[in-house]
Amino acid sequence: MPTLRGLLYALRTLLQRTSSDRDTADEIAFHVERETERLVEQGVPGGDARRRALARFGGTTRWREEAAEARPGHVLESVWRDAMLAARALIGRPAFTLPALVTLALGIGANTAVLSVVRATVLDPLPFRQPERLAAIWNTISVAELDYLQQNARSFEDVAAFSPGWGYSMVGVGEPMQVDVARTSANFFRTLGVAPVAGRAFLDSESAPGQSAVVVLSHELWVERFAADPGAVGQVVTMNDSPHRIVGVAPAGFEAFQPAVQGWIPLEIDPASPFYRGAVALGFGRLRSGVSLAQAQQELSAFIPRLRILLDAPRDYGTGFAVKPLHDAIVRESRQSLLVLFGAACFIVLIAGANYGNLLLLRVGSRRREVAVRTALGASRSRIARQFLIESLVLSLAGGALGVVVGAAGVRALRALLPQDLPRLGSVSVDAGLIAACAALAVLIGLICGVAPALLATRGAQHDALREAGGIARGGSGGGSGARLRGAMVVVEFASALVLLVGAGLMLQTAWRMQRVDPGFDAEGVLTFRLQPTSSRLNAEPARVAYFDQLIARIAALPGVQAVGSSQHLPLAGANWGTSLAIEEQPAAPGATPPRVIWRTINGDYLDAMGIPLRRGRAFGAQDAADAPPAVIINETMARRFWPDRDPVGKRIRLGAPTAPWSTIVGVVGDVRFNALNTPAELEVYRPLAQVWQGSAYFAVRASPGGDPLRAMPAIRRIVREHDGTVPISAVRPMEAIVSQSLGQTTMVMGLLLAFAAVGIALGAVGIYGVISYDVAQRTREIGIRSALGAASGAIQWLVLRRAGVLALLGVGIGAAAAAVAARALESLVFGVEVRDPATYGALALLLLLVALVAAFIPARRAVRVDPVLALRSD
Amino acid sequence: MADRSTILPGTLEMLVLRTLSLQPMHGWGIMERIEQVSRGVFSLNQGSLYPALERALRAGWVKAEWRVTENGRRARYYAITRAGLARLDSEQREWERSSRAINLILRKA
Repeated sequence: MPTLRGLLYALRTLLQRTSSDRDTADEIAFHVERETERLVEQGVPGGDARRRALARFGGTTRWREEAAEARPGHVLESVWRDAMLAARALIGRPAFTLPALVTLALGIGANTAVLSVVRATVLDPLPFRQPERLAAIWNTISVAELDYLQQNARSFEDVAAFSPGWGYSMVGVGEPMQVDVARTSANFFRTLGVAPVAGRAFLDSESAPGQSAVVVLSHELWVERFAADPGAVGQVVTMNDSPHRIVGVAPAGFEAFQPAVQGWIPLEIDPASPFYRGAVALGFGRLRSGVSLAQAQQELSAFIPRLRILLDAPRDYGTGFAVKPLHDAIVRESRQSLLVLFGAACFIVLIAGANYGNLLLLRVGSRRREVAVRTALGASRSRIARQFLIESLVLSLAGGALGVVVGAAGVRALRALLPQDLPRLGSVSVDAGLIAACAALAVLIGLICGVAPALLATRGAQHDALREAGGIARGGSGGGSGARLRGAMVVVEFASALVLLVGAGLMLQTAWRMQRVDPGFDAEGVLTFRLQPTSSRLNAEPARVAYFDQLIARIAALPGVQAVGSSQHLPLAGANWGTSLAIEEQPAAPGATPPRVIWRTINGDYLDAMGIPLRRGRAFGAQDAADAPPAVIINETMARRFWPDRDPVGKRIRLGAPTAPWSTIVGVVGDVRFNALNTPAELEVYRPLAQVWQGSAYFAVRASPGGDPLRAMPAIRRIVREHDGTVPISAVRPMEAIVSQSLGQTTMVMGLLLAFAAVGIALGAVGIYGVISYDVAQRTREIGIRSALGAASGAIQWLVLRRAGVLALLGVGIGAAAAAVAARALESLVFGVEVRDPATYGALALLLLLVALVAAFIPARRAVRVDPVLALRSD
Repeated sequence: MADRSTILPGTLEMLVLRTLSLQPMHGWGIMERIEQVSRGVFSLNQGSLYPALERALRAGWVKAEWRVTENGRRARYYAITRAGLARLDSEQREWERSSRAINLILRKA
């Protein structure tokens, strides 16, 4: 009857909880006293009367509780009391509490850390206006296509493009510096729905030829170079030797498509430009409201034939082009690794939960007497069950709180550990959501793991436990279903541990194999850096070639330097240029798609500096000057493909448009794994810098054997400065760093899986140790009798180890099956090993069995040492 | 004590209210009174009296206060409220109605 009066009464008793407790005690005292008096009046002797009065009253605990339960607010109040009680009990038992806390903190922490990364980088919607209307159109779009779509596509409010990786030198504000610029369509910021914090975004007119000398600065560059001065907007800075006006500043943390972009400059749409048809950018757009992806796809597909004619493109033009949610296109690459990690973290939670449940179950066993006594004193079953549940919750919440700490540390570690080019890594953080996830996970674990012990603790508690407490022998292994449950938990732990172990094993082999792949070059002792000369003095092509030649000659003359060269792109560094190929003596069928080759210009002793072996013919030399007949060097893959049993040296090929001149092959070099260590070489062509001019170049400096190329760096800086003070040096990295960075994703997945697997094995070992120890303790009497009857110590050990073996085998069997399913997620990440490699599974299963036996061996030894006399007397 | 019966389930509340309708009384007094008036037929399960009183307090049928007994000791006295009287009245009528029915069945069936 929830009346107002009842409510007020509830409130009052809650507020006066302690005083009403005292009242109740006084009331009993009075009652018992009065009853005693009556009995004395009836002639019962004093001491007896009091005892009988108490007896007539019944268990005081029970009625006190019942009286309390009748009181409103009682549930809250007694839950709180139980929680405090539980906390006290837990603090008093560190041997139980600490392992439980550590287990939970690790499990919950690992899971929430990975979850927060997955959420920020994969799950969260893009931080743009109405992100669901943003669609990726084309991975690589040319300015010509952008131009056409902007004018014709009706499904889109805006079609935009983003072209990453334009290095610009910036002079005029402090030291000359290299700035990472992205060139974008003028409508870029509008399409995303992002407004600059200062100044303005680009005007549509700024994509017109000659109008694009404007730049929007990143917030970080604005703070760093301009001290966040609003007056920076409107200033003119020299970028790549031409004046650019700063028109705006992007919001702090703004990141689209590429992390750490420092400035945005409009892409020129100039049909007269030789670059008009070059695929330079990623195309995306904002759908008109109400237009579906399928409708947009349909409209754009209809453009393909016209575009093909317009661009004079090959027959297979436009295949594989699809309008997709932009979100998918952006997270695509990292998605798989992160989901694998998240799956692994879930297994860790499973293991931690099973371990925790096991600890609780063991504790039930050791508390049987306590439960029996409390039951006898009148505590109700539900009361005791509730207390067990509350204890589990208190512990799991404490573990969750620690998990937040672990999770926060994990997030920091992950941010440092994950490949830095992971999109949106910067937005990963510890926040209320993470804490809520920790708490929810903690409550879930506390409830699930607490229910079974609570039920077990109270089922048949009175009889069994009292008998036990009274010293009546009990056969068997102590609480049949408790033992089964504990066994099941161990099986879960071992199964999960094997899944993690298999994942780690597969990634370990992948990393190992990738590191042992011959990349085709020798990274050891090679230093690389980037130069971008842009001053007007070096504008003329001959001057620039001379500039590079002089630099190379002077650096090569430095002590400790063995070879120096430059290249337009470096292997495994992510950039590449492709073009179409024609072979003079092997004319293609009309209309056929010409083969595609990768090409780059090189200068100096680049091949020697990188350790790329020359197989036939010669390297480039002074004879390949600007006015000499065009020369090229090809790689072995290309030689094998087109001249399988002939010498390609002396043959002529043409790169790009039919108007381009024929070039003579002067040499063949070894294959280089240019895109990734796990990807075989493509058809590749090297061209001399003197004949095919490129503005910027990566330098490769090889130290003399045993030397450290970094020691030459100060001298190199001095030489560069002496030649032209306006040329910035950027991206100074040992070649080995580039190689290991290219392995970033693999190393990261492997490292984390290894860490998870190690935690999994440790928890599994602790779990099986705990269960077997408990078994041995429970069966002390049985073991004592057996050895008194003459059982050999070997037989007793076997008895103990057998149970461990059965549990571990079951776990490993289930784990192997689960791993075979789960490993499919790794398919795109592994290299050189099958995801169902039987050797890996077998070896790791054996390893896990061994761990189980070692963990069980310690209690088994203890069992052998059981003294029959003591065992029979115990209890 | 074979001649004693426990109180029928659900009727303790009515008996307590009825006892309190005569005068305010402490817990032990209520118990003694019920035992006396029933001429020792009902032995009150003493442990269940106080929870019943607590429920009645919550429902607002009785109120309680600490007073000094005639022997100079502190005891908690319960007194019936207006709501308690109404409740007693309805319970009593319900009881009479059903006991009449039961009697009829017992006599005629």
